[in-house]
Amino acid sequence: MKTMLILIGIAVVLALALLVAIAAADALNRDVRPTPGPTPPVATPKITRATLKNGLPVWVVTRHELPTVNAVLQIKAGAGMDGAKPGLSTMTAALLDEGTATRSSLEIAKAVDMLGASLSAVGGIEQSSVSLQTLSKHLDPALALMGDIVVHPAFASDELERDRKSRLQSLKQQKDQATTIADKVFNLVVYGEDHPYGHPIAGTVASVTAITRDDIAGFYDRYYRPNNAVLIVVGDVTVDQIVPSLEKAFAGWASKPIPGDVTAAPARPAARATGVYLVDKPSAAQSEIRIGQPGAARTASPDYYALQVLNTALGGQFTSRVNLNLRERHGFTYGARTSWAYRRGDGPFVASAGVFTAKTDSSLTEFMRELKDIRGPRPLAPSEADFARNALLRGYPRRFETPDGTAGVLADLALFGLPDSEISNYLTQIAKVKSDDVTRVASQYLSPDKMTIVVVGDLAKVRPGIEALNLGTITVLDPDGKPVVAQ
Amino acid sequence: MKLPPLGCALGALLLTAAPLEAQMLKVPTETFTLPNGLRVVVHEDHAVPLVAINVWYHVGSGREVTGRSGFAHLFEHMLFQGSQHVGDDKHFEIVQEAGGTANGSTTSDRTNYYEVVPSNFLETGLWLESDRMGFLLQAMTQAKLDNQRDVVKNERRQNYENRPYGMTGIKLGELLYPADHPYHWPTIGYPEDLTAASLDDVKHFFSEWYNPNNACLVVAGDVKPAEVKRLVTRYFGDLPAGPKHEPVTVKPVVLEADKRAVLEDRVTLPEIILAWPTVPLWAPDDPALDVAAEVLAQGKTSHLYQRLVYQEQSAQNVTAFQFSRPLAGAFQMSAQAREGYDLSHMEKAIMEEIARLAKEGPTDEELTAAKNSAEARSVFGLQTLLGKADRINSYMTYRSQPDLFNEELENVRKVTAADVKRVVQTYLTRPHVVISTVPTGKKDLAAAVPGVQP
Repeated sequence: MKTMLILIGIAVVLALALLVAIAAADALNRDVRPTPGPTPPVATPKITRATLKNGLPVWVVTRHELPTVNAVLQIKAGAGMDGAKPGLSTMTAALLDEGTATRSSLEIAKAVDMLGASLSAVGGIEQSSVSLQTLSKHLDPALALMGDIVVHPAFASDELERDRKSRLQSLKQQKDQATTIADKVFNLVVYGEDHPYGHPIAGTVASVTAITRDDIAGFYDRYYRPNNAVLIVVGDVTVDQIVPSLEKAFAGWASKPIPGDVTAAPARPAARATGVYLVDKPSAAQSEIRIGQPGAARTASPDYYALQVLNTALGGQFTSRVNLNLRERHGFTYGARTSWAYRRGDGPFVASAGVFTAKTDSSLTEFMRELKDIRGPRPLAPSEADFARNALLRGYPRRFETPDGTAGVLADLALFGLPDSEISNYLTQIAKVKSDDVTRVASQYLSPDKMTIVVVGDLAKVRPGIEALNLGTITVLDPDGKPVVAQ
Repeated sequence: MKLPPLGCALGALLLTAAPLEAQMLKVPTETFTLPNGLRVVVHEDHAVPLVAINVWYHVGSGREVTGRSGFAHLFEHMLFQGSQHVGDDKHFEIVQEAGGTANGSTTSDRTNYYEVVPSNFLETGLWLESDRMGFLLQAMTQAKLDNQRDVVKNERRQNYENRPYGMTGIKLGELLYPADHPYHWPTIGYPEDLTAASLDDVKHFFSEWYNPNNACLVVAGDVKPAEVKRLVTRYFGDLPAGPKHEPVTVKPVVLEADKRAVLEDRVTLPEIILAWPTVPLWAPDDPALDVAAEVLAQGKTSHLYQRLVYQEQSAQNVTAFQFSRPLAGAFQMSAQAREGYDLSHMEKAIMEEIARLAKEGPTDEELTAAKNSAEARSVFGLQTLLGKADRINSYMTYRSQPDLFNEELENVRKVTAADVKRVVQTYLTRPHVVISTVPTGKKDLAAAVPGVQP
């Protein structure tokens, strides 16, 4: 009996101890960050393909979650093909939905409104695109409208004159906006006005005034061809369902050899010693800063992925070095960032921020410090590289959340001629990047002694401070990027 | 009305569009309330392995006191500076290392905070949100406040002072609403008030408003409701409830006479803004005013676009919208006059088109287009988890119901041509505000008082 009681007693004690242990394990200790569960599998989009009779490639990703369809027609030519007529590609795109052989501008707009759809055309730097978003129940009539503006645009003279007038007015308005001036002047100085990445995509007053209907019809005839395009469809439809509708919608659109090589990468401009370019914006509350140089092309080379990690750490998100420095440590700005515009050729790398006028010189100092430090003096620590890699890898599924996002990923594959495997290859490659790789690409691609520094602000207040920094030769430009003769 | 020859093609489209079934919006939710008053809504959607965690506090700039304008928004910034257990400046770091995004925003009526993270980081997100709901002040310092004060002043410079026409909206609120109305002062605040904000203000505001019983948490995405309930109870269950507040009440805004103002700005083109006091969000006349805005000046088919931008080519752009908020609404219109035209010309055309709509009402075609657009917009709005979470939270915060998606759409479908005529006649014929923003030194371009020579 006694033994029995002791045994029971031990059992009770053990049970109590176990309960306490469970309670302790379950007690909330807020000092301990929760451990994430297992990483959910990344569902990358499955692309099915077809080719229309006229040669137009069609890529379809079927998603039935919502009764919607997004369709993006990418034409593989944009402002890079403007030649000596800046604005030509964007004017061509803008006129597509302003009238066709059988529908007026107003009739197109009314028909789109009636479907509750959105249909738009825009010219980019290396591509032009026509985008449709519709409920799937209206898909056929919506595709018919999309096909009509792509295959039968009228380019009517009165519509051209309307666009010209609006565009000339908006070119003047661009000078109201310091951010727009800064971007335009930066690209112009870095690449020069004859380079596809240097000339203003919306055109200049002279070019927009001079462009004729024949120029536009010619651009359309050369580049808007099924064999120079791809149609990307994401949404509540399968390739078998949509192809018959597309055959009808794009009937009469014929392939034709494309003159020249539209996919050729433009040459990298010659490097120059760091120079400072100032644009006056009297009584501006902030100075808009742009610092950068030609960056890198979108390729599947290891450097591309290392640059992704670099940018995430340097200026690609809130917790990046430049934002923590200029915003969180110093309070100079509402936000500072760096970005790489990946193109067929070496698109621009730029560090940018709008900063308090009185802190313009200090902001330049901090920006330059960060650009220099990451190349060697304060290289990316392994922990920073881990952080940036995690942010990229774990953040990847967000790109596929919306039909638009998915279409964007596919559009990049098409634009840069990358294989479908690049979607998963991206993850493999990012995972391989080490902090040493980041330091290597930082010193290779960032040249603080060969940068263009643009400041748009109240020069009476900011110029003396900038001069004292001795960053390089100072040139004063007007909002069009033309030198201002000293008074 | 005689249809143009190509009206037939349009008619054919109409026929294919009209008989199709009206779209139903399916956003299933589960709702529960913790003993401390925190309301929680879970929306389960496994389409992508993500979760949106979205908290709304029912406090915005409308609750600010005299001399502390902009405080609710400045306070929003403080919530990213670290709480007791999470640590200083860790919030963004933790979310971004998880591959997520985070942000917050403040309006006159509410403040929201969210993170969208991979669904295996659900618990991390709830830990972050619960820590700053319960343990913010333990980590608050004067240095953090001073830093974010500078950041917010820069936000004001960037989005208002240095932005073309950026100061017009501030003036509009001041003229439209009386000095004691919660919508009178700007959410971004006046610079001197931002300077005056103290650490005591931060402490007081937190204790007063940042309590579970004044908040609503929506969790939307790749989650199981039972698991969410378990975790939310664990992380938020022991946070104490705070004071209860009576809802804000305001009298309907009535202007005795037109109010006119002229602002000078560093802009190329003059812009006119007109605003009429109307009805609050979800009031019976709200959807008809939305339709009126669409017919008057939204998109290429609208009356004023066709008249001023397309035919006459005197305007660079025109806009109209019914800006309805929980306590009051305003119908706002604007036009930018091209070189060679002044704002009197814009105002005259706007008033004439309002009069015409009041007399004729919209066409059947215009009404159908407006309804179809509303339907499509509602569906497109369901594409992101964050978009859904924010909508659910607005329904919960202001109406205590998680799913008004279909009711809202149904209210647009019920609008008749007679309703549109009536609301235009009722609201847009009353005294209103007219602001001319002109290029510096060019007051002659401002809209003159009708009948009075400038």
